[in-house]
Amino acid sequence: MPDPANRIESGSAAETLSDTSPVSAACGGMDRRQLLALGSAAVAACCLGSSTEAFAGLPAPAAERPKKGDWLVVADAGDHEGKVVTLDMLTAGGAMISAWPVDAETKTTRSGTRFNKVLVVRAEPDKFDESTLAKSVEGVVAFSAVCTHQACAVTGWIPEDAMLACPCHGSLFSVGEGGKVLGGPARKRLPILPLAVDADGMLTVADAFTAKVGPAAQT
Amino acid sequence: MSRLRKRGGRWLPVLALACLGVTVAPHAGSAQVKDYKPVTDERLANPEPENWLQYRGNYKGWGYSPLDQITSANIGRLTPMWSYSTGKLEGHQAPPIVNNGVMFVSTPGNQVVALDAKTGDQLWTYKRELPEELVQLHPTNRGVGLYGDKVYLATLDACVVALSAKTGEQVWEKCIADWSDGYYMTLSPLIAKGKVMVGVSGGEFGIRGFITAVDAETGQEAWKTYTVPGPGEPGFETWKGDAWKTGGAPVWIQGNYDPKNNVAYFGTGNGGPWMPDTRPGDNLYATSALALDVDTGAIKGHHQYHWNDAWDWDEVSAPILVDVERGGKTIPALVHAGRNGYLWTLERHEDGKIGFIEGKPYVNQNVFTGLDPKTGRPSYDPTKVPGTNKKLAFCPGLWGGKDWPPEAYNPKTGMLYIPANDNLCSELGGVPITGRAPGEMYVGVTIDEILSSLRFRDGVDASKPVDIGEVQAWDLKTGKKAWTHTFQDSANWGPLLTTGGDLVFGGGTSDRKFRAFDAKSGKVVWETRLNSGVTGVPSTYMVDGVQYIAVQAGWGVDAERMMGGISTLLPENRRPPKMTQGGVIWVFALGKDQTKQQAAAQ
Repeated sequence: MPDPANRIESGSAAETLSDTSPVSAACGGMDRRQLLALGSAAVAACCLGSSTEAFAGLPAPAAERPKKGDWLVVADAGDHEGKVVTLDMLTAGGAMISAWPVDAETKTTRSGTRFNKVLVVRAEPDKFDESTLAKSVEGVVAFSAVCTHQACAVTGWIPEDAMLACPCHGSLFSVGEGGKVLGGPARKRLPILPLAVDADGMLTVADAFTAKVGPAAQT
Repeated sequence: MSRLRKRGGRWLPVLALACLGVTVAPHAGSAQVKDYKPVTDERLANPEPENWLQYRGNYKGWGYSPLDQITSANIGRLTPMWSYSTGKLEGHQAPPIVNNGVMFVSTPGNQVVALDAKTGDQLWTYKRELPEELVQLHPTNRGVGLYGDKVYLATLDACVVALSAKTGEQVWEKCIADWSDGYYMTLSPLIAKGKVMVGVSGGEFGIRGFITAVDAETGQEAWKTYTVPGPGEPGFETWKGDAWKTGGAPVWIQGNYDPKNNVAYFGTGNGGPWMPDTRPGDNLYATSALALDVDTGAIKGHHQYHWNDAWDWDEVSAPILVDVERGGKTIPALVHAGRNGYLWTLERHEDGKIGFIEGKPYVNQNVFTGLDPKTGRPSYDPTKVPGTNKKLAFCPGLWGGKDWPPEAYNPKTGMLYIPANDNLCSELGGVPITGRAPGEMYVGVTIDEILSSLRFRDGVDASKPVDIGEVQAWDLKTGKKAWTHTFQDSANWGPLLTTGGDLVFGGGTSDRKFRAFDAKSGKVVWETRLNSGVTGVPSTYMVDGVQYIAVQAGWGVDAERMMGGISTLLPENRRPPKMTQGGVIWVFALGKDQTKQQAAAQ
């Protein structure tokens, strides 16, 4: 059998297949470059059977990572679900809100992958380091909700210590120090989704995640 | 994957290449597998001494090999022959499985490596491309299964994969559950009569456990049996309301098999969520031994070790099949060292029914106040049963008298060897459980509470080294304990192997040592320090007349978590340094006698 690595590098096998294979429709007829442009979550949806439905239409902002100009809506089930996250919803030391980014252009909630979910907390900004401060608004910071250890959903919020906690293996992340690991098996800090307020005083996303969401790539 | 498979399954491997630009196909090594000897039912039932064809070496679950080249007398010459870095972190738990000189090893990350068992030459590797969003609560795998000319792997994204034993190429895959809903697999498959039997993990994610058999040739589902009965099924009355839908009872260790009666025996985990008041009733078939008809999956018998679990005492180790003597009669039995701290002897009836013979504590246990003499059903001390908003202490701790690491039985010595942990208790309480979200923890006990739950038993003086980990030997003929080896300030997470050379092998301690014990006396006759802690299942095999001992080192998963908890109970100067992770396959054999060589040289 030909060495699979060679087949990939040549690229020809893939292109030929896109034209002729019965499954090309399953990939929306896209070529490899388009697929890669979609981002790994969307590719996973196509190729690995992820539960997301990123291929219902193109583009797929529901599975694309948040970007500058997005706003946030409440992801927690309950009365507030789907409501726009505002600064007054959060108090220092109070409850955490889990939220989805919303694409400003298409108004699509980016709930196509849980790798887009963020945890929004408010803590004392005078205890933030400079870098975290620059990504926060009045002590409100948004972190990826995916643990960098083994991709569990980070659900713990310990306001008295301004820490986020993962329920699976106990990794702890510092809110004021840019998601730095304070304990547990995680080795990589929790990415921040930088926030800002726009001219209307609305909480918006100021930039992409500070790092790749989720665990480091598998070896 | 199912959607794509329907449209054109045979294109899948190529499609994956096209989409991802990475390979899921095997990497061929410099050598190839030649003259592969197919694995048959007959060979699995009666394995040649030189081979280790499945998780515990035989269908009975013994962890025993008749090989006797290595003995207490010559073990001083046991030397590493070759080693192999797996390139993976986390807990390496799988045994090296060997068929006629070809070794197959699975690692965390669902990688399979095929090696020349004599030389260590790499023949091929297979790496599964796991979904990026996959949660890995237990990033491990406990071994491959062999049948025909294929190698079978149960994956972390809840699929069964069949690989060509010769090339590592994927022949088929069958996904049996939705990984994004919290289902995953870590066990080695039990294979018999053309069926590959696997069970699901996910008890911490609110799943409903089940065991599935797929056809070894095609991957087609043959049957699926839930370990939590649904409406209308026997045992459903042991649940209330909708609790059965998230009732847990996962299956994460390979079952054992009785070919004569065509019955497979599995162990099941605890009910979910953890606190008993969230699922009132006995909760069949959680924390049970289950007897299944291999042809149909029908439940032919069961024994629930303890009802309405409150302690996370999974009873997942399948009971081992062994004959015991009672009142001058030989009784076909099942023996299980429970996570609940009791050593159970059960009767194996021909029709698959399971009877109770006896149960007795093998570590300090303060929860059971007695066992019903006929059924073995325990009664509980209510002050040792935690619940939601009810924090109580109990012994043994939540990792139990023995967690998953398998016990071993040696027919020559007649002894059962148990990797045990004693003198530990847990103090635990639940928080009110909220709605289940797919793929998120659904336990009702916070991780803080779990990681800080360990306590020493009352009366333990922690100012001196504390006996925790043990290897216990029980004479199954007399039902008495023959010997105990204790480890100080360390738990024992080492699966055991026993051999015809009257030896017991195991690691499992925080000092990274791998040891051999004299099977009769319990004396440590050999030990060596490896790269990382050993939670791998050891195996033994023979090639060209040489007996080898093989094991994976690579610390992680619950061994690491529990040792972290123990460390906090120890004075600072006795805490072991944090164990470095990283997997290595080690292979040992008798080397030349250095002393004699030196003497000859002079």
